[in-house]
Amino acid sequence: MERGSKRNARRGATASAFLIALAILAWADSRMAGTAHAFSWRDEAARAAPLRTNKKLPSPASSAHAFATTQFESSRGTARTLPAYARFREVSGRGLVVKTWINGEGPFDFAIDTGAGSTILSTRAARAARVALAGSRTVGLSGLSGARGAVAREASVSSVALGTPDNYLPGRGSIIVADTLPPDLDGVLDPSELFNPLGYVIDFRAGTLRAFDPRVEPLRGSAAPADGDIVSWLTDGTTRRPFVMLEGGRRALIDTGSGLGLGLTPEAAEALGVLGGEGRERGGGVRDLARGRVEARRIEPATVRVGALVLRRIPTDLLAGASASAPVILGRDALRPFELTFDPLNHLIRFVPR
Amino acid sequence: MRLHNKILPVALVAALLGGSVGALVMRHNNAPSDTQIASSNLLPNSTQANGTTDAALRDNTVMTADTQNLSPTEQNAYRTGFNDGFDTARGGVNNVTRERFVTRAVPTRVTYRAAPARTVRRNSRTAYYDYTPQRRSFWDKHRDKLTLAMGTGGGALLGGLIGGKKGAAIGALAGGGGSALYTYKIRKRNRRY
Repeated sequence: MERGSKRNARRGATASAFLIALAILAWADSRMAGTAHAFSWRDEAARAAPLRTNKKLPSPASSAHAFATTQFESSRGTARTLPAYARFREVSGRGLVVKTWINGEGPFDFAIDTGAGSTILSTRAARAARVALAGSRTVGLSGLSGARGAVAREASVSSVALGTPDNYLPGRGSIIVADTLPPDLDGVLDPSELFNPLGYVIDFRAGTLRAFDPRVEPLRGSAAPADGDIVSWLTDGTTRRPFVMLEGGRRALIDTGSGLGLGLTPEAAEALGVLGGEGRERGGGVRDLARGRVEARRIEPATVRVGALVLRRIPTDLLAGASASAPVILGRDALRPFELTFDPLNHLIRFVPR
Repeated sequence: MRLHNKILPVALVAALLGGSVGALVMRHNNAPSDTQIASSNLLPNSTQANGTTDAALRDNTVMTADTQNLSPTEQNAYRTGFNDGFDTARGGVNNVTRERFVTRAVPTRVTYRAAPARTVRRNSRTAYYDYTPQRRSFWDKHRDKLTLAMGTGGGALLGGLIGGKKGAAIGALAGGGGSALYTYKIRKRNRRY
């Protein structure tokens, strides 16, 4: 009897110890995984405040209404409300996904892609949003691989909203409808096109995309942040895709749609003096929108300079299968530590580490 | 007209005297570096001669005869003294005439600079960003191994409580498998930002 009670007590103690260990494990795991989300939305808003005209801290649910008094003049000369910020989440393999409404229908999952050159809508989402196709005219899609296997169609939309159904963006009109997007993605959002003539800020850390009026709060090259820099926004002449000049005169595309770090073709790596090494293959390569395939290998981190900002030991990927004309890419792994501000009026881009 | 006739001989005499004194003084001095430029001041092209008769008389008639045997430096000094004396004599004897010789100030040295086509602002400021993760904790460094060990240990403990040694073995396998599945497949990575 006494022996049995002792045994029961021992079992109870071990069970308690096990439960305590489990609780510690769960606590530690949640603490580490949730580091980025430990701050409240008010902290994010406070961090975002300097570029905003309205200093109120909006609640995420009613953010679109909180900026009702902040207006800007559109290209058509009419006063419009400055869009509120929208929150995005980073999804592995998909990018910065934001809730989007097209023609009042949605929400659709769009990936924020500064390197797209145009806003692209999946055929499925276009059908759901009753998007009007512009006749039978087709356009060819070209990606990093240089492949031209995909055909898309031009279409026009009457409204695009981010975050909430009534948080309209100034850009509208022509978009591209394609059926080459991944099944779990409804579209690709090019903020340079849809926010124009407004500027926009992508804060990776806070997970926010927000607009600002460059005529009210312009970026100035002389007001570079102490730990970052403001550099020229270069373009390829046909789209508003943002390029920056690297040291040595080579241009790099700021591409939030790419999961790469500093993406280099072998030729570019040689020109920049980056040593390849063996490196590590990355998840079976990358498939672009034109159905081309590009293999990426993570190699020894390189150091590059963008304006006065020296990026030491930047995650570097060597691309195989990319076209010879493929630009140097600054993907999410390279951009993630920064808050990026794009000023289309003054053609400037600001990098601020967060 | 009669008065004008007297001025010329007096001026000539004064000019000759001045030129001689100037030549004597300059003979023993080193010539300055800008002598050639200064001499050009005295050329007819660089003088405003309101009275062309006097200027021609001074330059062509009188001076050439007296300065033929002089060095260029001495000739310049002679010419300077000649002009000074000539002007003084004419001014002192008769103030009626308004003829004056004005020597233009010519820059002694001309330096040509290439005009900058574009002003380039050089930014001497440099900011650095290092992607290397710094000060990783023990948990950061060994998170996967620790999770696996804790899962296995927990499973073994629970299995041992339920079914003794055999249960502990089964529990360890199950706990290890489950925690490995969670660590390497289910758990989302790269969520630091």
